Amino acid sequence: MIDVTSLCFKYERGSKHSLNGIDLKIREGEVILVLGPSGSGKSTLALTFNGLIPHSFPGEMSGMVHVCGMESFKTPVYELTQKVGIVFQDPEAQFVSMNVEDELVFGLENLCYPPEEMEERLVEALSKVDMLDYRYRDVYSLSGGEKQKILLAALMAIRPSVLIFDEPTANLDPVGTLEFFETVKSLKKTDEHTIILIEHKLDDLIHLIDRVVVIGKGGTKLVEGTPLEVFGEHAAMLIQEGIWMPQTALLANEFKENNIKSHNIPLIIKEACDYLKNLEPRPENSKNRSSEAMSSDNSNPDDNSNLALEIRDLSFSYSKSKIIENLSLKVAKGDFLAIVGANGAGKTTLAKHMVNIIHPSQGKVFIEGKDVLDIPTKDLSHKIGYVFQNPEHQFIKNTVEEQLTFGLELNGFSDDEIKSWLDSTLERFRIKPYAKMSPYMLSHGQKRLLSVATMLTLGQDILILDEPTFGQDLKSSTELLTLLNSLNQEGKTIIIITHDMTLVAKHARNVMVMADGKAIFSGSAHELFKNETILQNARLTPPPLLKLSSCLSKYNKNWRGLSTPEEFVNALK
Amino acid sequence: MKFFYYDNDSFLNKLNPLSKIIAPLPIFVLLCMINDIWTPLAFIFLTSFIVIVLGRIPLTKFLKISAPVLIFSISILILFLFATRSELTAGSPVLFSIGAFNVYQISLYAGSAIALRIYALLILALPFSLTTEPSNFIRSIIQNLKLPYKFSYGVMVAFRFLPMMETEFNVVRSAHKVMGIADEGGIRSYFEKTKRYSVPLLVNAIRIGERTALSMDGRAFGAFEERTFFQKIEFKRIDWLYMFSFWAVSAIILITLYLTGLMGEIGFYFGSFG
Repeated sequence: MIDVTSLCFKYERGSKHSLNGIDLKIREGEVILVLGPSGSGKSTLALTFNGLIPHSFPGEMSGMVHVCGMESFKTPVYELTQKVGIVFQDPEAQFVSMNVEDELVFGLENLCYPPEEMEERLVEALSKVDMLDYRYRDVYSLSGGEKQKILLAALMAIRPSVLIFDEPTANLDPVGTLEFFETVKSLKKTDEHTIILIEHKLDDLIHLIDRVVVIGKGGTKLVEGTPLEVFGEHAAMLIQEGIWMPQTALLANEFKENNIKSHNIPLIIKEACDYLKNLEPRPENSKNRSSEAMSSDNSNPDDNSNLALEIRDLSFSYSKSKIIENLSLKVAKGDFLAIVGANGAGKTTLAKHMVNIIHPSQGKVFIEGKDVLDIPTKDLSHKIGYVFQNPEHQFIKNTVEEQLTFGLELNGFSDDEIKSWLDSTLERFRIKPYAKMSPYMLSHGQKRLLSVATMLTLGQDILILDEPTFGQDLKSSTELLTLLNSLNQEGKTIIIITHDMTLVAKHARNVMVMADGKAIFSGSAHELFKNETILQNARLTPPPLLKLSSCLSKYNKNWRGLSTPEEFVNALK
Repeated sequence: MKFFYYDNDSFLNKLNPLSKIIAPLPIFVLLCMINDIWTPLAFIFLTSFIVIVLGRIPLTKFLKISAPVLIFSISILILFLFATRSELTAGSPVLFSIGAFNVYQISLYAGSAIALRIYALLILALPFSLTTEPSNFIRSIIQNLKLPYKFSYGVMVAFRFLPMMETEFNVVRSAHKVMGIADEGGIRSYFEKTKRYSVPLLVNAIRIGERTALSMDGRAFGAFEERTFFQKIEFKRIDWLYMFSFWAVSAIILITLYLTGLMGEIGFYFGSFG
């Protein structure tokens, strides 16, 4: 189907090769997963399949790409795009039209199909993604997951034989992600397409994959093989490269390192459950992590002087709809709190109340015992740092160095103080070599680190982060969380808004679950994961290993409530 | 983008969007040059009739949309009462006085004329804006005006960008606010502010633009010189009928007003020929 031989590509203004000698053969009907750290050229590879590289992007290309027997270099783009369709991330940016029907026929119109045939293909494509009822809907009334499905249908109307998904769920919440994956599953069942997936949320996909291809930082192919081969035999290397792996693979790796009998734990939860059911875990009380979390809970009684932040009966409505309803929350100093819930549950709105960007319709917010409305903007920014979802939104200065010091200069610190603070920060956040560069030139992960560092300049004690691990590879995500943990140990209060339940399981001390503007749960992560009603009501997807643990608990009660590889290991040691 | 559009299957809804724009154009120009109060008043009634009867727009919706325009017109009127040019007020009888201010009869007349003119001009756009689905409008521009489709799609996508950029702007503003940077007045901070906002907005706009381009190219955009259309929009008989009837009725109104002597002098400024 697709045949790539020693392919190299360098973007016109790129300093190094994005792809460096890739060889790859993809057979008809295969499902291929392409993995790699961010910036490794996965997307570039995808673009060479539908001809946009080299036809639309200036650059140097060598080697050959054959798609359905056509040589990409000699074939016009529109012929290749009829064979290969790509769904990208960011559904919003991919739409051309304002309603579904127009979007579906866009490609067909470009290819000059007669209206009767368009009608036929339009209906066929929409029914394939099970969205026939959406034909006359406006684009902006769709959720993120629905948008991606419509874009997929728009490609399928052209009837390509290869479908490529380039991080299609990067901008979707867990519910939208699952919804989209369901569609991919149903496509796989029809067996009409060759599917190439570039994705890092692997746990719900892994059973679909025939073959995994790993591309490294330099744009070279590192490994290739079945999922079990790649994740089983090369786990250490993948972790080293900063590549996401299925949680089951991480578990297997953890077992191996702790010499617990079990190579090749199957990657699919059900099979892993069968495989592990005969092991004998120890009862809960010997697991230190969860008990530690419990005790730290109790050490913070309702003593008001100990509160970093308190919210009392907060309500907020926006054009008649209630976004937040009667919400109360106490956050102790030094807490690590995760706020979770489906998209639209009111999480970001709540966080914005904490920094007084939104004023409450009803109720009060207190920061260290003071009403937030009575704290001037400037003083508030000394107490709380708020890291926005897109770090670029908070880049103000021309160089990393200026970006880090402007807050201090604004507040009249001496040059010596600024210099020593700057040095230690650049060191700690590992961005020293980039001090003189523009913040925009940093990598995705470094941008995030810089935005966190910027928020700590004034010695803020509370740090709020909105989706801090969004779109990051495993390495930068781990780096960030290690940093947050050490800040937390220094006594800073950390509040994160997140969809990533694995992160919650691993790092959060307390969790608040929001659904439809209300707090429906408040307590430790461990407690939350035992409470299936809450998980369901808030439309949360439990971390994959928790699914494994609840499956195993049918055989032995001691398996209950385990959600991280470390907890599994502790239970078995 | 859809604040105005009212979805029903009225007569106006079925017209080609372009005919709803072309029909009132001559009246638009004419109204700018007529200085009496009867002509704009007549067209306000005519347009309201078209919107409510031919467009089947509920009266409440119509009033709600025209209310801000009305308020704007009334404030123009009040402004005129107190600030008419002195060569106009010379010799005109005083209607009443508030303190040192004299309000002249001619001011009331001139003010009403201007206020009604503004109201009429804005309301003339309603038959189009209330009954045209935006994508239909774009379709008709692409298909009937014979613009190159590559160009018109560019414009259309830019149009889609605007609400996205607005959201972006608001996010950037709050992102800066939490860093303790207050928006202050003054020229220097104005430039500083412009730079501070425009860099992240531009970076993002370019990124979104690139993605849109990829998505379009990935679906064979620009493959051939021509493209076909799923929904054909044509200039039909009823479009001509609508335009000619509109012009005929307008002509009758204008001639009647002229013959009865109700139409004042013609010119862009009130009293400019006087």
